Amino acid sequence: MRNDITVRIAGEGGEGVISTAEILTRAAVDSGLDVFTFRSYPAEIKGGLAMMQVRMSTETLTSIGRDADVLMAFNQEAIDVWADRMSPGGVLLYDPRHGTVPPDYPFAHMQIPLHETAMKETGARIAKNIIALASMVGVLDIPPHFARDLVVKQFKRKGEEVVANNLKAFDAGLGALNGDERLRNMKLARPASETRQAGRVILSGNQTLSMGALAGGCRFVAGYPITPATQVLEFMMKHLPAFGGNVIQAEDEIAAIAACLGASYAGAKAMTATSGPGLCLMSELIGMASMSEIPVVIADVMRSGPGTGMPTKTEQADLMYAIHGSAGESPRIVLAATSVEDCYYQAIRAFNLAERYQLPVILLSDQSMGYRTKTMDRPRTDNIHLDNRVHPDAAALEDYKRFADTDTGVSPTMTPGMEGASYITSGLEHDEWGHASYTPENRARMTAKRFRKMETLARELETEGDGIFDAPAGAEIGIIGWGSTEGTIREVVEKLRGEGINVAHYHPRVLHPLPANTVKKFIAPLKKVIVLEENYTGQFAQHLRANVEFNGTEVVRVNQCSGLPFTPDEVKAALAQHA
Amino acid sequence: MSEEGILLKPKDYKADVEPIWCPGCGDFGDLAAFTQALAAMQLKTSDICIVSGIGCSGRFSHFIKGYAYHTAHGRAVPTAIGVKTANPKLKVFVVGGDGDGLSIGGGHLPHAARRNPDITYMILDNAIYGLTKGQTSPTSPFGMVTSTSPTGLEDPPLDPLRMFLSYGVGFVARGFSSDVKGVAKLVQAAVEHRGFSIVQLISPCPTFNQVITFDFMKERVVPIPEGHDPTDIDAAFRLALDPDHYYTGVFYRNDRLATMEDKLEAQRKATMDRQPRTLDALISLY
Repeated sequence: MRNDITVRIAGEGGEGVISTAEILTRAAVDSGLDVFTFRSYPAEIKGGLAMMQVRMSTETLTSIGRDADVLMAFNQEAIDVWADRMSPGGVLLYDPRHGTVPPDYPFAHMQIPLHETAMKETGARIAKNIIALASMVGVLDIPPHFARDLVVKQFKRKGEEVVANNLKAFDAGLGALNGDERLRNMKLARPASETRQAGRVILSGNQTLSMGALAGGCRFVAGYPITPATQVLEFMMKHLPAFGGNVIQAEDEIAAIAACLGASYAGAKAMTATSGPGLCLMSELIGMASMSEIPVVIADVMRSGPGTGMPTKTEQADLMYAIHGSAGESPRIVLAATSVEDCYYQAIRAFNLAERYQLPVILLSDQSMGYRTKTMDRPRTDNIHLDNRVHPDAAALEDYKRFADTDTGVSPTMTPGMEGASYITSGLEHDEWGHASYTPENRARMTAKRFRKMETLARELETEGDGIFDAPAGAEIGIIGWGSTEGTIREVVEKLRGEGINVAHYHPRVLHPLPANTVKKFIAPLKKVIVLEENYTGQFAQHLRANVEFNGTEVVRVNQCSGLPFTPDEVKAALAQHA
Repeated sequence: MSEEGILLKPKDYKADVEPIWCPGCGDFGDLAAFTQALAAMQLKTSDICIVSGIGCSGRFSHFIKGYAYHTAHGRAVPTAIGVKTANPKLKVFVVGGDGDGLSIGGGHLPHAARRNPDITYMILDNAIYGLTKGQTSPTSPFGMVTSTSPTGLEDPPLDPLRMFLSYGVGFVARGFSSDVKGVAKLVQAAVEHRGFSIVQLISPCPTFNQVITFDFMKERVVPIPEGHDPTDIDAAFRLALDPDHYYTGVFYRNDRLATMEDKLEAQRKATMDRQPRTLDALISLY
């Protein structure tokens, strides 16, 4: 009996790998288990290799865990690509009709005749997915009725005969691998209560980001399909109109951001969701938004680059672009969500920051977080504080200065339709009234005003704090991360703490502007700091270096850009190597 | 009507900013015509929103009293669509030149035609890039010598009207900037048409275009003959492609197209029937 297991199902894209794993995931949650998934899609629609990984536990999960304890391979490519990435004691299950295992394969392996059984029980090849599902349910010892009920629900629409056929396949699969000694160790303990997940939800990062946008007051979305952000556009298209908002599928990313800026200018809280290549296309208008001081939220669900890159793989390599990308110097806020749950709350925050500071806010997520599903508490919907752009009072309308130079840098704004004054907002350098102006004095003044907004926010972050600042007394080594590596790093830090080893951990959410004093305070007592990122050039390490004095603390960059997220083992190894 | 109920005159729609155009620029005529049209319709200045692009013509938005967004080169049309979607009560205009609208901005036009927002787009066409000092534009004539066509332009010009008609734009008109009254009427008709309306305004550049001059155009423009049925697309094409006449007036008008606003409203109703309206109900779906 074990409390924690990682299962992988892999096979040809379009053949039911993901959907089979999804039903298994749902059955596990219905039985009270916590789940944390990871998906790897091919870039094509059919063919290519798809893999879904489901980690299940009787306890709360925060990372994808280690390699597979059980790998079910539907075809040869699945074996070729994934069979070597097994945890110690792991078992490979494969269909002998569609794959063979090399003679010197080091892990335990067993045949399961999915195709043969499917044909025998139902006459239909596709039933192999149900057999695979049922055999996994049997191996894991999850009470079968949960998965069985889901199978009935799935096929109810297609009529009684189809349901009966699939149940026949299910029952045949249930016992297919029973009794094998090598699988004894794969049985999962029952969770303390079957209703442990009751009232909780299974959501992906793209779903929580979309829900957070709704909660944050988003009422306009314009987007263009791009992997792995398309789901956000689809979600908003399906739901936002019922909330009184509008969604446009634009002809390209430039039109998408242009429409968002127009909508925001006219008073709607606007968002677009894209990935790296789309963000690049938007860069001119991001600068425009900054110059014309129009609030807008741009979600970047990062994928592997550069160029077309690896569209279905993850990476954290758009940071520098998010911070600087545009002509000239244009202040903007960069926020990075740290978990599936956090995507919801950072989406709300993105809108609030955009409104308060009248700046573009780039909200970074990534493919692994966008697509991964996990059990979580329902996102909070009560007592959500929303900020709105500040309007001028009546006295200011006399000689209305849209871009009034203020202490905070933020100028009260009118919205088209409001009476009493009007103004032009322009990408050209302008004076306080918005009229084009190129004098050196005006230029210096207005640039300082725009950047002052960033300084105001940085000061706010220093006093209010942001993200994780975990600095146990006596720790000599620290780890700094950003975005989706948070759960993985936490898991390692907490495990080490349990073993009496204290490692400090800093994981901010607002990456730009940086609260430099806060970062300095974290680094000062440490001998060494590891900056861990899923990219090649260490972008956040560079950003820290440019903005914070490191004095005597040694900085080590730990980078990988494999397209897969860091595992806890890899983080532990990095710490061990540099401790 | 102003907020106090006083009748607004054309000059009441002019901003305090002096135009930066060269003396004799065709855009002056368009500006005058525009203020006349606004006065004829007595629009509230707070309801006016002009989105303009980059170029001499793009500066237009600075010279009108009302809300304006002077955006990046070629992107005024999708920006204006965003404005109109967020607040359909606004009277939204797009103003820009031939380079802004037909070169860098050209890709947005067919999609604007498909969506059909109730927006009026005035393309101030001088067949040259003026602000950058004299390069060819998509409407520059064959053989024209410019700084980027020193041996004479070899590509034929784009035919804007043919393009607009092909895209299915629901209101297509052309005017000539020195006919201020005529342009004012066209602009008003464009505004009154429910849907995406394009008015191509030939506005000669005296500084950089010595081929398409006022005199050159004056000799060639002729009003569309009486009896033209603007709902007849074939007739509209024939007028637009006529090799012997350069017509001005309303070429085509289609009042049967649903507007973007109508369609978004329909989408909202359909969605409200099928999808949750509260966040809690939505989360429970998952």
